[in-house]
Amino acid sequence: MVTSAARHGRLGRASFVGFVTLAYVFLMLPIVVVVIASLNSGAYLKFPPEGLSLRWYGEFFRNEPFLHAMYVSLQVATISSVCSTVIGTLAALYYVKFALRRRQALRMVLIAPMLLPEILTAIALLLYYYTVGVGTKTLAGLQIGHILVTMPYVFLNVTATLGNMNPSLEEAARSLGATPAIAFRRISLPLMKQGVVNGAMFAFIISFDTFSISLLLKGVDTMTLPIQLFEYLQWNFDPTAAAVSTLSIVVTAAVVLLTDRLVGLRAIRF
Amino acid sequence: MSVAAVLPAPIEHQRSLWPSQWSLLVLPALVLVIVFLAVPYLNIVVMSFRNPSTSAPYAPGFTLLNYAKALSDPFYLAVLVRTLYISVVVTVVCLLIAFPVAYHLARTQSRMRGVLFACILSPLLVTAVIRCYGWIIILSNNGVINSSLKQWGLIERPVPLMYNELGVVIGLVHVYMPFMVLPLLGAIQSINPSLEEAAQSLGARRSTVMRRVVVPLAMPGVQSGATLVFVLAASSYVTPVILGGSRVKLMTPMVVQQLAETFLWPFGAALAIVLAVIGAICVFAWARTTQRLMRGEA
Amino acid sequence: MTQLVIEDLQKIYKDRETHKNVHAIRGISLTIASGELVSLLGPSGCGKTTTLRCIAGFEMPDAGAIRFDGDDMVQRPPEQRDIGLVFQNYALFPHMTVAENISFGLQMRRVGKADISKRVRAVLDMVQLSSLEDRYPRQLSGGQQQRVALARALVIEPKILLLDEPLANLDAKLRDEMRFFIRSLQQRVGITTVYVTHDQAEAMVMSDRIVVMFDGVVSQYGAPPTIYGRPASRQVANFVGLSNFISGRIASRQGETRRCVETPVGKLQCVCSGTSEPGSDALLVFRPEAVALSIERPSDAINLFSAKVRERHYLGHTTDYRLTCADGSVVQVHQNTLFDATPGTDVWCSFPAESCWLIPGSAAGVS
Repeated sequence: MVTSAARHGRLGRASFVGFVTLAYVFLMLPIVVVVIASLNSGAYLKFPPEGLSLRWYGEFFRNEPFLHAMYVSLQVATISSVCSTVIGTLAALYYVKFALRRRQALRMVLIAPMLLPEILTAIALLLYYYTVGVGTKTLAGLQIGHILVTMPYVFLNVTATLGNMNPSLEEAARSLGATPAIAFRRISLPLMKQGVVNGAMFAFIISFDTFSISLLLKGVDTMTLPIQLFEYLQWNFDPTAAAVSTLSIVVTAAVVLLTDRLVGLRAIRF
Repeated sequence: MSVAAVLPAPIEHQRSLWPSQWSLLVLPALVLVIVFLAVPYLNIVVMSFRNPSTSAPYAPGFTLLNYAKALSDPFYLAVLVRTLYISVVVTVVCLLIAFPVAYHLARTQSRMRGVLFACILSPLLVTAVIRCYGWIIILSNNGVINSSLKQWGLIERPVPLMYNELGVVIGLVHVYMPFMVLPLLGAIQSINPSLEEAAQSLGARRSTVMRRVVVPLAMPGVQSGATLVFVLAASSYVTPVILGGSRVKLMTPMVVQQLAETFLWPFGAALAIVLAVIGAICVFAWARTTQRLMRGEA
Repeated sequence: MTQLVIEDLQKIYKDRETHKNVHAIRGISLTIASGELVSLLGPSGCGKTTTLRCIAGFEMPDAGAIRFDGDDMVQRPPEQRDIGLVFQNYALFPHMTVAENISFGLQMRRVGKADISKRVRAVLDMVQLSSLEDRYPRQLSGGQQQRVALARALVIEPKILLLDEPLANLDAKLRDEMRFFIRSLQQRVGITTVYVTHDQAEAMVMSDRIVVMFDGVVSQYGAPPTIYGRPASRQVANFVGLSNFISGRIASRQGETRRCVETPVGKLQCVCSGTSEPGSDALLVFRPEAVALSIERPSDAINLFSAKVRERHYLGHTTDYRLTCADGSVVQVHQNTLFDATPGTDVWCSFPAESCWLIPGSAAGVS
């Protein structure tokens, strides 16, 4: 009886670990497959690849629309990151230090762009721009959409670092003779750096990767990389797309690693 | 009184001086959200009551006909039902896969823990288009699975794995899995492991411990994870379009088509609002049910 | 050297949730002599931390004055008060090294660079941390962080040193060491110090005088032996150490400070502050270690009564007895471990009149 129970336990444990392993394979598989496919030397998307080569990366650098889309994406993501960081950080400062009444409501309003389905926001913005008469001819509308959906990430990151900060620190500085302004500059500002940089990183990545807003608000000349890739995949499956995808993953990974080197990554909580 | 003594009390000298000046800090964010979120949402609500027009996006005057059409046309109703059905399936499958993964990650002592956590998070950092593209390489008729099966002589003709509901479900489960794992992870991590040991010491088997202790206490995580995944799945656009093709019609692609291709703004807006409201009702009903369940357990 | 005077301090909070007014401090007046270490002792929520924060300038009192050598500080912001403050959680700046933490206050005072490094080295010497100046706070143990916090507060040579439960986060052994360390440091520097704690043993060991606070008011202000041996109320006696209480009626007056009280266990001799008159109600308090037990009836003892041993607990340095008196009341007694009486034994209790303190009826009520 004891031994059968023990065997039962081992079997259960083994199948549990097996299942979890499969789940991780499932999670990582498509991304790994794309990276491997980009190194394929054959003309078609074959798996396993017929040989290794970088020819599809060469294709990418000869493909004018993809190059332009990469440029647009990087530009939009950089501007989104900078603007969201300024707007979101200021809002977070107000929220943590000065907001006294209706804090919960203020918080909900400020993170609403993150909570609402992005496609619905994109639709709303599209109709709004046309109703107002701006349309989608310029990049500005798309850019504002990106700032809107990335700002909450900065707000949340900075609020969290400020909230975790020991409230006695500024008081300690005051007791040692610092005015409120100096206490803020010497103590709080350096300590919130991590939240600000992490927020900026999130804003960049989300703007770089976001789809719905970019799709609906795109103009003739303002396709971001995910949209260009999407359009390309409607008609072609050749490994150029894999090369583009891999490069896009590399950009994102580089931003994450840079953030980690600069200030360290913050734990993500829901 | 004890609360008052412990609270990090305000530094009153600076606070009472200029109460309103600091609200300038939050002004840009508020303007952004109000002008580019609140007003546009209001605008689609108004738009959904507009008269349709053939020559312009909409005609003057207001009507309820758009909603009547959206709620009575069997074609659109079928699309709506399929959307909700697929979203529920995706949510359930996500939960079934994510729970063991989250439990394992929450309890593991392994040095790989950081790597595993990165594996959970990394899909979030890759745009949905690329992840779906990966699934094309795997699932398409001459993709990884079908060509392997053919090579081993198991099949003659490729098994259709995408451009159908199966492909859409696989893609959506993959894309939204992190949104299920993270809340579950948080919930399970907050369960004290000694509770499980206590249950075992009282004679419960592993499966009983799971059913009677871990799952009930992880309910808050299940609730928020399921809500997130359901909402995301019901409003998904890229995955159904890429992996479902033209054969699997879901609501969001339909709405986008009405707006961006056929320019039926009032009707498209009405469809969008119907989807949003029904989604909200589902989430609310789910929250009420689980709330009652959780209260029953507590 | 600074004298600290607090006059009729009042502080009312508006509770954020209930929007009711909470009276955190109700009229506290204290005079703390120059160079003295005074503890504010009381349970959490008694207003001791609020009082400290008013002195530091982080709370604006609703009424009253706080004077450093006669100058009222109430309108001054914290940075202009010249105080040294040590927080319960130390509040070391995590992004600065030990040396940078300590120099912060000197930089604020625009002390020259050379002078700063000299003073930082001197104060690090004083707290015995000379080798750690380049470490960051997270690389230090709790006790080391504590000493850095002390050094940071002391290096600016403040008028007043304020300590807010500085030992609460340390383990028991380290806490014992730090008590003596802080006390001897304070005496060496000779700085006027206010020390907030809820630990009565800590207050006893460290203080020149103790302020016992309940519910926003001062219940008693005095030297440690006075607080322990002559508690002003039942509440104070209960908060500071273990006590036995017997209530009765004053039977006769025996000189200025001595009374004879009629109690359920017989007539007991005790000492009092001198205002209690025969006929009024009284509460007698005596500590467990004041009682002597014997099996045989002692011939020449006063305050003698018999009781039965109900429980006996061996504590190592002493044995703890719970006795039941004739009237059913329970008395707790600590005896030398050489004395041994098993439960059920009848014993004789006695204690000197000087160890029995009379609390007048008006102060006896609160438990």
